Amino acid sequence: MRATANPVLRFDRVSKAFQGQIVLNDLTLEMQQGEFLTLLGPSGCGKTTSLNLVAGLIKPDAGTIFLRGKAVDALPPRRRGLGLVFQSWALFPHMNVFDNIGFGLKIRSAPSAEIRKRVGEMLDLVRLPGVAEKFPSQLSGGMQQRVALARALVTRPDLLLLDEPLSNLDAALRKEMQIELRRIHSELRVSTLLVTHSQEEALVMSDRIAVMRSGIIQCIDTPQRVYNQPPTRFVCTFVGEANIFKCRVDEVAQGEAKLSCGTLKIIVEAQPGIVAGQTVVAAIRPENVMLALGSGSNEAVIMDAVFKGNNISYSAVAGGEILNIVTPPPGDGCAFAKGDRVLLTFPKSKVILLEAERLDA
Amino acid sequence: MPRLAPQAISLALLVPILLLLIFFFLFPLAYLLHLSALAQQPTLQNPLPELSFVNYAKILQDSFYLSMSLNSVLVGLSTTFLTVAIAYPVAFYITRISGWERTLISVACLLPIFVNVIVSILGWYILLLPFGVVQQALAGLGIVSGPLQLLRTFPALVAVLVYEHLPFAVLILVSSLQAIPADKINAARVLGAGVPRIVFSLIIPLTMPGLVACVILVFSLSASSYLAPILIGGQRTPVLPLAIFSYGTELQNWPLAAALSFVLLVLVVTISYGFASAMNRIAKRGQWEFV
Repeated sequence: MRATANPVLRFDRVSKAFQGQIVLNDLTLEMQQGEFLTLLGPSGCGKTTSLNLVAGLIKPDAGTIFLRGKAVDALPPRRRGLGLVFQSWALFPHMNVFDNIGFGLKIRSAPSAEIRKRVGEMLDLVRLPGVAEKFPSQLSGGMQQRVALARALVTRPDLLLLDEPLSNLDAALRKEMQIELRRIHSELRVSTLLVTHSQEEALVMSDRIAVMRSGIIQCIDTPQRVYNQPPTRFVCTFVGEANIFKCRVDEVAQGEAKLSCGTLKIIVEAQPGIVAGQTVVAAIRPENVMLALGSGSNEAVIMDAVFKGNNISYSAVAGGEILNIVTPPPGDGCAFAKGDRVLLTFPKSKVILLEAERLDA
Repeated sequence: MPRLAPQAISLALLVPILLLLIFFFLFPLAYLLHLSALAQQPTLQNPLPELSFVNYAKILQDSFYLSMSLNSVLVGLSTTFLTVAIAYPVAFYITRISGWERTLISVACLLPIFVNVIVSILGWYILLLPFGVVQQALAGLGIVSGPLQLLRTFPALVAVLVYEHLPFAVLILVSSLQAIPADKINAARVLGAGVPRIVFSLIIPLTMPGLVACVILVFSLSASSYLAPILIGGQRTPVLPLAIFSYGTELQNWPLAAALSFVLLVLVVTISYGFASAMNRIAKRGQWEFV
């Protein structure tokens, strides 16, 4: 995403602790107008705290949050011009769908004709015609989710905050809503900050993903780059799966570095700062390991083969390391069976070199 | 051993309470209704007097009984209104605090329950006596002079009844307020709602079940209270329970006492039901049940 002079949201060295426990550590973050940014991380990483700080539901211990270029620390939640969808959706049970969605407009003393018009538009946007008179308890989970989204969007917020909005839905509905949220985002171009622990949601919906751990953003980039070039071991294993090897650099020459991990030999594209004799951590995604029948160096034995319909998942042992490998199915069952000797190939461009990370020590 | 159907088991579990209610509530109530429709007190010579509505006619025609019924309703309504008005903010405050502060205030609210009712009412009696503690304090501050009539007044009776029922109201309202998820309040805040809007559009409607339970409990208990009226209100604020007691014991007119009991019962049930269904209509609008 192209940087603009005026980001819709900016965290400037924000810290927050609860009862002495640091939840957010000197966080700096910029979000561009119209962007769909996801804070992704395990529970306790500080992602929900970040969202609550933006909403003004809690106050930072240090640092400043800017919305549309203005510091908002002194502004109460109701003056921040935000839309927020909670994990629980937090619909008002004693109001029907129309009154739930119209709540924000009624507070702003909008004329009732305009409330009717805009609530109607929102119900069309979230594809829920004919439920205006129903009460939340009469709606399915997916429908309640859409009402919560409509209620958050009806005031035309500068920034839409989504706090794990899909985690109370079943798997099929969650997939459907991911596509819906993408569609609504591309229709309205409303800047959207999503908080989730689901890498799938983050990959499907985001323009950029910020992967968080222990109150720190470990990496912030497009879904493709977060997945293909994760900087740290944590990002690499939290977003997708990976085989990780601790390797010794044997030789650096002609733009290549030759690594060895036990008996495994891996060749990677050389990077500045890599010198022979050094220890590095290399990773490769299961779907990027290539399998062939045969023997030679990088020989492995298949321990298990699981047919999963659209792919086959193998586990193989090579030089004392256990690897996960995923291949497309050959059309008739499994290409390899338990006990087969196979040859592993690690395509040079698919091997990821990870930064040394103290947390993993 | 034959397996019992789940319905049979749950029915069996209901049997003790059903038997208890039939023999110790429905049957006596039916007997009371029968008694209230007897023309005179049953005696050994005349164990089954003729049936008539003479007792009810007496109550409806005598302005003394009518003003007594009105007093009972007024005492009940004033007590209920004041109790809820005091208990709601207290309960709200209790849900907002934690730790030792919360323990202290909760215990302070509940302590009166543990004191015997007669003891606490006699305590009020001493406070309110002419030249009693309240008067001495006020006189000492130079606010009043001369004897002060506090005892045997309507406000004194209501004050004691409020004191007596406040802990129950706080208990009910705290649990009701606590059940409101913080998310719903936060959703309203982010949508732009200020404190008054949150209180009136969200908190009060969402605590309506507790509020209705609280009103019914306090109203029915205070309108039919006997101890506070006899010790604090006296004959200057005559209420139905006082008359029921004196006809039932001193004057030995059971049919009239029974008829007065029924009038009180009908008043309490009608007003409670009317309030509950009105609140249902205002705040519920068809989606959840209150009582």
